[in-house]
Parts: sequence; structure tokens; C-alpha cells
Amino acid sequence: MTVDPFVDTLLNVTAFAFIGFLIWLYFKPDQE
Amino acid sequence: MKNPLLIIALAVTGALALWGLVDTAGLAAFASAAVGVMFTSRGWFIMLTVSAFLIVSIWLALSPYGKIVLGRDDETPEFSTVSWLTMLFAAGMGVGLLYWAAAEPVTHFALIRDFENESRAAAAARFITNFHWGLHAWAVYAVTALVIAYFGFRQGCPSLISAPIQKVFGPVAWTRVVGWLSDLLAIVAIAIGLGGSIAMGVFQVQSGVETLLGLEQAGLWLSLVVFAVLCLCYAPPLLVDLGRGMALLSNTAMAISGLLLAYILLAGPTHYIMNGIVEAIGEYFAAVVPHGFKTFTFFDDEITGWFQSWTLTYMVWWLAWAPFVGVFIARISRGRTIREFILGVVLVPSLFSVFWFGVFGGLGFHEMLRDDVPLLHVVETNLDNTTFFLLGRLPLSGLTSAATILAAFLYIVTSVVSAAFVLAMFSSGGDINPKVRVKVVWGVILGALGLVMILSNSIDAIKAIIALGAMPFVFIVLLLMVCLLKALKREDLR
Repeated sequence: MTVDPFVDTLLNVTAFAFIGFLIWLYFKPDQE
Repeated sequence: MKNPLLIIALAVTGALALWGLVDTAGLAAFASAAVGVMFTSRGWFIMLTVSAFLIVSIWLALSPYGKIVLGRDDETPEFSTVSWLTMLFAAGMGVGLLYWAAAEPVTHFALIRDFENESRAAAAARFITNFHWGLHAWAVYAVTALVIAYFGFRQGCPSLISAPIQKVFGPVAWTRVVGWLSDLLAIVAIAIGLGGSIAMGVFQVQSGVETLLGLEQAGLWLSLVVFAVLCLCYAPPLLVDLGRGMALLSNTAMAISGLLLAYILLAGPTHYIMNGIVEAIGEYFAAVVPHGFKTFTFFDDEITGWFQSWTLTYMVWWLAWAPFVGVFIARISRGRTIREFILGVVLVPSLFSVFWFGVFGGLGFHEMLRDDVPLLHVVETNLDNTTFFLLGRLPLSGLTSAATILAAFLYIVTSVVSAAFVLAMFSSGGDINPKVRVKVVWGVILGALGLVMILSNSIDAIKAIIALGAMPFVFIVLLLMVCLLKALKREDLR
């Protein structure tokens, strides 16, 4: 199946961003 | 609005059901196109996610966190290990296993034999089926159930998908929004997933009735009759609490499945089946982890299409079911340590799946490869009938077919009743005694979604619609895993 390159990039970038967000959440220091 | 989540969840699922009823083909086409785009662009992400769940599960079981009790430190398990394991089997059993028991390995075989000789194709088909139903599926369930159990029993959170997010990151703006969306997406994923399960169960029961009564593919009217009887059967338990009555129904279905399994093993080609199972265990454990990262990069559209409509669909499917099965697994696992929990939830049901497909698939391959029975033709022309066709190859087929129909029927009734309960609980702020009218409304919505999927009359359309509902939930389960890991970091392990 062919996906529009813009949609493809968008879907992948959101996935990268989400992985980045999770890594940031994991290492973010707790606020007491 | 007293409960906006309930109203919006009902509106979303109700609108989807209405769309499906008005324009079934349109919904199916939209779902297939949207899921096709998602799977093409984000296939790697889904495989990475399920592999991460498996690796994190194994790591948790082996790490010092494995000693943490899902409850107070001095708490002991609520159920004995034997009954706990039996209940885990029950969680994993369902109409899907009955439906795909022989149909799935034979379907994969039909494709792979174009590229490999028959014996290698059969082994590959067996491996891929076990991969779909094995450790990765159970790791998805295990992580979700572990999050629900850990935060519920150890941190005193309500049984809501949003609870761990707010507990770990505090009640700030983004956790409120993401938490609310998580509850909504969990509800949507469960409702649509269950609609698909109802349709599959109805097709299976219908096909069994056709076989028993000698009807030539009766078509939609029989599906609708089965569906109507199903609705009549699941309505009373939603209105009145049947207590142990529901457990009795579920245990009966499980006992029938167990007896069927034993019967096929003993009445069928026993040594052939056992040879296959032992071989399958070795093949499976030797290759399962690398296969979790396989995305078929260098293959053509036929293979990538197959990968999307099977492997990716299954993985997303398990994610859709995770909150539903997770609530059940969590509820029966109070007092277990994380190590026991992972070993029990990930390993034991996976081995059972290998055994299950080994028996049904083993009989299928035996009939096809040794006796030249036209099973491939049955799978290609009347997939719903595969199990009954195989039962017809053994003695007492009338009895075993009737038992399969009964088991499939009981599985759907118990699934709808428990799903209506979990949906009502999620949409009532985690209330473990949700109102009867909320349960009934969910029962109606589940029925409507089931009807939509029946009207689509295509197993591929059903798979696409389920995947569409489940897709956003991938992100939520990953977020839940991070919540768990973060909370565990705060545990005092001394």
C-alpha cells in the first residue's frame, strides 16, 4: 500500500515525538 | 452533565454503530483504508511496542522488583496457585481460539507453500500462529493487568485506566486531559473489540448449526437468528446479578473446550499431534524474540499485506483487549508478587496456546498432508466451517460439533456480560458496582456493534474495524508502562 509522503512523515514524526515524550517522562525528576 | 465521560463514550460508540448500520460497506472501506495507512506507516512502532512489553515483562520478573507484592507487603494470594492458573486459562480462552484453532495455521500454510516446500510451509505456519497467540500477546495483557493491579492494590487507585497517570504525575492539566482521553479510548477499544468478537462467535455458531442441520450456507437470516438468541441470553444477567451463575457458564465453556482438546488429541493422530507440539515449542522459543522485531522490509506487497492483515492486526487486537482482560487478570491476582504474576500471566497461557493450536492445527495438517483431505478448499471458501469440518473427520462428530457450538455461544454470552460490566465500571468513575441501567445501555451498544460487524459479513472488515478502534490505545498502554516503571523506581526494595 502506498501512503501519501506527507501523511507518512506526519505519522512517523508523531510516533518519534511520543517515544521522546515517554523517555522524558521517565527521567523527569519527581516534584515533591 | 453528571458524567460527561459516559455520555461522550456512548455517543462515540453509538455513532459508530449507527454509521455501520446505515452504511456497513462504507464503514468497512473507511476502516480498511485508515488501518492500511496506519499499518504501513507505523508497523515498526507497533512491533517495537509489543516487543518492548515482552522485554520489560521478562526484566521485571528477573529484577529485584519481582519481589514486590501486588497488595500490602504482608498480603498473601487470594486464590490458590492452581485456581489462579485455571482462571488465567479462562481469561485467555474465548471464542477466538475456537474460531481460529485450525483455520489460522491452514490459512498461513496456503500462502507460505507458494514459497516453500510443504513441510517447511507447515512448520512456518505453525510458528506464525503461535507467535500471534503467544508471549507477545500475553505480555501486552500482563503489562496492562500489572499496572491495574499494582496501582489498584498497592497504591489504592480506582480501577480506571487514567488512575495511574494521575497518581504518578499528579493532578495537573495534561494528566487530566490525557487521563480522560485514556478512559474514553479504552472504552471505545473494548466496545469495538467485543463487537467483533460477537460477530465471529455468531459466524462460528451459525456455521456449526449449518453443519449439524445439513443446511447449505444459510446466509444472513441464520446469523440474525443466532444473534437474536444471543441477545435474549445476555439480557437477563445484565438486569439481575447472577453471581456465581456467570462463573458456572464460563466454567462450562472452558470444560467443554478442555474436553474437546483432549478428545481430538486422543481420538485423532495422537503421536503426530504430540510430535508437532514438541517441535513447535522448540521452534517457538528459539525464534520468538527476534521475530517480534520482524517487519518484512524487503518483501513485496503480497507479503507486507499479509503481515498487516495478520500480525499487526493481532498485535493491535491484543492491545484493544488489554484493558478488558487486564481488569479481570488484576482482580484475581491480588497478593501475588510481580515475579509470580509475570511467570503465570505470560508463560503459562502462552504454552497453553501452543498446545491448543498444536492439537487442532496438528489434526488439520495431518488430514491435509497425510490424507489429502481438501481442508485448504474449506478454509478458502468457508472459513467459519473449518473447525466443524475437522471434527467431522473424527467419530462422534455430531456430539463434538454440538459441544463446540454450545461453547462458542457460552463464550460470547459471558464475554458480553463481563464487557458490559467493565465498560459500565470505566464509565462510572471506577465504581465496582455500576448501575444496572448503565450496564444495560452498554449491553445494547455492544449488541449494535456486533450487529454492524455481522452485517459486514466479512472477517477482514471485522478485523479492520477492531484495529481502527484499538489503534490509539497503543499510545495509552505505553504511557501506562512508563507510569509503572516510574512508580517502581520509588519503591523501597530493602
